[in-house]
Amino acid sequence: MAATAPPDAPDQSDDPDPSAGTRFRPLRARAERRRAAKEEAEDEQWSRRQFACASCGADLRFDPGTESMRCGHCDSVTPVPHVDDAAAQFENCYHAHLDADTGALTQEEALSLNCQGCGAAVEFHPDEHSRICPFCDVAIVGDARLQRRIVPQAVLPFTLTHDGAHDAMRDWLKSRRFAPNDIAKEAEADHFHGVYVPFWTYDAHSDTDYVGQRGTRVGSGKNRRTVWRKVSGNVKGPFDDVLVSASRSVSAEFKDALAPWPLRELETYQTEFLAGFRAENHTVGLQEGFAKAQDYMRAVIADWIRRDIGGHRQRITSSRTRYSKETFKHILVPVWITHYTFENKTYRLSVNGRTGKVYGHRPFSMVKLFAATIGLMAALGVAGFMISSVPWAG
Amino acid sequence: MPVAVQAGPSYAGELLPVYRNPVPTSELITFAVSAFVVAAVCAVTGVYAVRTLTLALEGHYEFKGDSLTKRTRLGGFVRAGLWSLVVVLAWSFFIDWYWFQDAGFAFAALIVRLEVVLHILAELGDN
Repeated sequence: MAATAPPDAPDQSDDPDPSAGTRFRPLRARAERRRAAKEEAEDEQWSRRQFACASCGADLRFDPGTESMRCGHCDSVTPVPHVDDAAAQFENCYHAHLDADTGALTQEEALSLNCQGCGAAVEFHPDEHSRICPFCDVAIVGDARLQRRIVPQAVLPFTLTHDGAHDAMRDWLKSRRFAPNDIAKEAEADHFHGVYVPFWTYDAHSDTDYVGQRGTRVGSGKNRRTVWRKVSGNVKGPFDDVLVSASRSVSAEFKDALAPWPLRELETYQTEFLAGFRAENHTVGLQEGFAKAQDYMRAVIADWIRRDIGGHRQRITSSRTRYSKETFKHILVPVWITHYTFENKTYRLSVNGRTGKVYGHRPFSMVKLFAATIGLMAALGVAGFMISSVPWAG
Repeated sequence: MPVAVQAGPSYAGELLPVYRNPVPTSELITFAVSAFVVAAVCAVTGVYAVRTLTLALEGHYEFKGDSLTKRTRLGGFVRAGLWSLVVVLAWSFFIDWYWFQDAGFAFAALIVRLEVVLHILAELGDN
């Protein structure tokens, strides 16, 4: 958690160091693969995402749940080379990377353009000038620019297949209360886009001094009052893997709705996992992400303080938090994204590419809602009768 | 609107006769129109309340427990709760009006109930 060496440190030097720890061997192998790819392909960025089938030369695509790539043409299977997963869980020192302007992390330049609709950074092929945003379906047109980005260190590969995502969508729609009867049958889903969404995870240790007031209730009935007493103290505690979206195209709601993300199953970033899928670049920086993580941490610390103050009521006058051992990871999580159309309206829907959990917008049946409202009003009529003067009238 | 002789339950559960005077047509119309308008407003706002309650319930059971959006979801429960309270109070008002044929009395009773509700809410807020 408190380790400071960057996971991609071997990428910084071409000089092989036999004394280097074994934890960097897979990263070194990855760097070598990348270098080989650079030499072989004219287009550095896109060569990393395209893998040719050894049998027929067609594009390979990562096959969810199988740890292998499958050829869409001849159906041959190529296993994804296994690398040490320790690097995926490696914690990078936050301040070291800030001070060095993220220089110690592996960075690369990618052709991308921000979507005008949702702000997502969408990668472009060098000869592409327009593309439909996979997040909001808005056409992105323009000259893509080379943008620097931090290469993710870990990825949660897809385990849910395209068909599995489709089934999850149907089950989710069927389980919606007050949804139109035939929604699961009639909803026409567009093609599901498999997208890797970037996230930051932050760890930190917090140490907070606070001044507040403890309220104790005394007396009873109309004489009841709260007596306030000044208190001060200190609370401290760790935060582990506070998840912050590194994408502007997804909301906090999206992150919470599709949770939990099995972060213990993270695998070291390999471009093979991305074959056939789209990956969004981070548009929220490391520092901005940490500020968002601190918003969450502050809310949790306030709870800790209230618990520490005790009494019937609590007031927090002031607090000062010192953070230490701040570390982070940059990861990609798998999401199936689609839009479905029902009665000429389009609804956005996302499926967790690992767990199959669904989050999306849904239609309501006005007839069902109205019937439920009338039923509820009738039931509330009984309560209305009970509190009216009639039962007490004699 | 009941006229002449009606039977109504006492709080002891016995059926005792309640004698009423004939109700003027104008008051009958006022009662019917008021009840219809209030019921219509409650039904229309109720559709919105049930919708937000449904979304809040789905969020409550399907979202991560310590989500930052918890406060947003709480809004759905609060809106549905307030709507239910308004409907119950409206029912009690119209039942009183119907039963005792006295809008003034029903309104005074409603005000008393509102005071009780506000007192309870203040106590809850204090806790």
